[in-house]
Amino acid sequence: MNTDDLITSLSSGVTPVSRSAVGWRLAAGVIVGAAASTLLIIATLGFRPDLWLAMHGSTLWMKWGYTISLAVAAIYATARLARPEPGGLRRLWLIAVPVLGLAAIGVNELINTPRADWLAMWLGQTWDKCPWLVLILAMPIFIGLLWSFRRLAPTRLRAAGAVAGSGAAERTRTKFRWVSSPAMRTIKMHLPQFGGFGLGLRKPHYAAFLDGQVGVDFVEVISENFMVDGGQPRRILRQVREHYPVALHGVSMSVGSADGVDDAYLARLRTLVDEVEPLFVSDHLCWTRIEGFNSHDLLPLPYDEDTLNIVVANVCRAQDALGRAMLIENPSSYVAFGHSEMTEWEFLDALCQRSGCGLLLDVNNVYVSGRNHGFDALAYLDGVPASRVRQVHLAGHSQGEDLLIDTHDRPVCASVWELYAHVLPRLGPIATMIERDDDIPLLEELLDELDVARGIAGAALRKAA
Amino acid sequence: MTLLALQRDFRDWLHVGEDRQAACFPPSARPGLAVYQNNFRGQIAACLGESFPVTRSWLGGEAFHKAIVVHAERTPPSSWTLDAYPCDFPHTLGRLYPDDREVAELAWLELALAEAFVAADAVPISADALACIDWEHAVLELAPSLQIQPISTNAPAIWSALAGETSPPAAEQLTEPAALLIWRQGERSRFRTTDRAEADALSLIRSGSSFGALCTGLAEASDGDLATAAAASWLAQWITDELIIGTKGETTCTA
Repeated sequence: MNTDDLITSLSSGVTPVSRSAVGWRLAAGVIVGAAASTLLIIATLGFRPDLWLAMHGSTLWMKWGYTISLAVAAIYATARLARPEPGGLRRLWLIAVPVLGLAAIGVNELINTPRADWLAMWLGQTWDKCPWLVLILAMPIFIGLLWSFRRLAPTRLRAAGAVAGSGAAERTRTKFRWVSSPAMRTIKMHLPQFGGFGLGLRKPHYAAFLDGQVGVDFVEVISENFMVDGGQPRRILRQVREHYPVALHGVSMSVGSADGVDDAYLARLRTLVDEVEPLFVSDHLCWTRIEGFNSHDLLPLPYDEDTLNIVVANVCRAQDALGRAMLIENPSSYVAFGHSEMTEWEFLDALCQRSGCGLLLDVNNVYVSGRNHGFDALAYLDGVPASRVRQVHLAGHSQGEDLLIDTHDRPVCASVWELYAHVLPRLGPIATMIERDDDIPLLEELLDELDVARGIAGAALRKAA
Repeated sequence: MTLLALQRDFRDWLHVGEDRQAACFPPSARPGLAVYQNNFRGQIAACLGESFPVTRSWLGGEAFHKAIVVHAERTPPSSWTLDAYPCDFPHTLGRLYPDDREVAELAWLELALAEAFVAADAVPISADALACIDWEHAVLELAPSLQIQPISTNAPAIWSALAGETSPPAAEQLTEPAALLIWRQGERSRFRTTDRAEADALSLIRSGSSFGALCTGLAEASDGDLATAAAASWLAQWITDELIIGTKGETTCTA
């Protein structure tokens, strides 16, 4: 048999292969594998509770666009490698475009971040779980692609296997966005460090702050007072913002509500955030609202796993809606719940780790709650996650019939000053402000009190150094 | 106990505040529960008291406090902002004082002035733009702060006297149907009383009718010259009051 006869005998009886056979085979492998992977995700992780809100923000779609672009490129490469002669793979350099783009954003964020936060920023909150979950959940798609290859004719086996694995992983990461908010969230979760001293902006002092001559490094406003459509309040805030950094401090977000946070509230707050570009956005570890009833008070929470899951979901949802990390403040409380499973500072630590939020540490609230519930305020301050604290509140309180009441109507007491001095070495230079909401004195009096804070901070930090 | 169940019990304690609701919590929580309930009730009373100082002065402190209690029982706060809580209070006063309609109208006037104060910003139409308006076809845009309310008593006169700390007139029913216009000019909330014809004209304009259509409607309903004179007079007043912030439609000026 000569060569021509051999070719003739080999090719006789071979049914023609459709030009789209490779595509159909790969599509079948990917679709069946993706379906299995999706079912696995639903069965094990479930959908993220804030999916609907997240879909209205840019973050989710940015992450989705990044991973889908890698998945498309990897599947394209798989299709090319499925043939005996893969041809040129030169277009594969396009894979580098989203990778380099993300790297550029990451480097820019790192440049603007204190070195101490680099590791946390790089790893995110889910670094120890995410890679393994992606690996496991990508398996069905990987198996589907390998099944496709068995009927095809790859000749560069290592390259074909590598791109099949890459395609499977990226397809899985694309779906993974719907169930959690992994590593890329950290890019937006950066919390700036600011070491100044400030006061709350209150009506009797508006005129002085509008002149920009008050000796403070920042001002804090109650967000809700300025979440109006227009008029004098918004004009005053715009003018004050021209002179000072502004921190937005809210009282109505209700991150502890079992029925979630209010979308209309978040949308209004986002409008204000976009206009003010605040130093910080904060609210309290409490609940104010449930099922259409609003108490307009900072109500206490039990510190257990059920509550933690709810607060984490609500804070994540708020942060996604606001497009930035928040600070959560420890409240003063008058009722403690017997079924709490952790201390307040342990709860706050877990909340920071799982949501990426920071803390606003109210030293007066630590003192008031400590006295009311019989815990050691020093143990609280030693246990609070210092690296997540970005702002400190100082205020006065009153003695009620049975309990200390957080009234914000008098100067900071000596015990609270001592606690402030105690915690400062752990915090380092930190944004500190005096809160006064009732019986508001002359501005000069508050500025004198702020000078006391400056003095204590200077001495405590020098001593620590 | 789930968090939702705990929060429902807590809500019931704040809203109803009887021993049956307190029994959901251990006895050791009673002092703290009392603090929260006191805060809740104090906030509501302070909010309504600060929102309706003139109405309070007219009614007297005791009667006003009774009205607060009735309102709080029927209408617990629901909005994220306490500023929204006063919205239904004039309605409660209307039900409590059906024969003294000036009470609810006073409260409504106070509420509307506060709402106008923080209404969306708008720039009144400029003199140049006015000169270019094709009045036949122009649809006027009114200030977003404008509120129009029919009134039947001399509540505005009572408000002016009490706000100026002078002796208020006795309450009276108006002999002719009237309306109250409230809006913000610059950063000041303003109001004036007018007849129903001007109020209806403003409502028509706000619903999207052109100024020409308003004039035609007036002419058909009454004497043509008088109608035109009335429309011109209103228009001049609206411009003076800075109620017009723009127009839709073509202008007579070329660029």
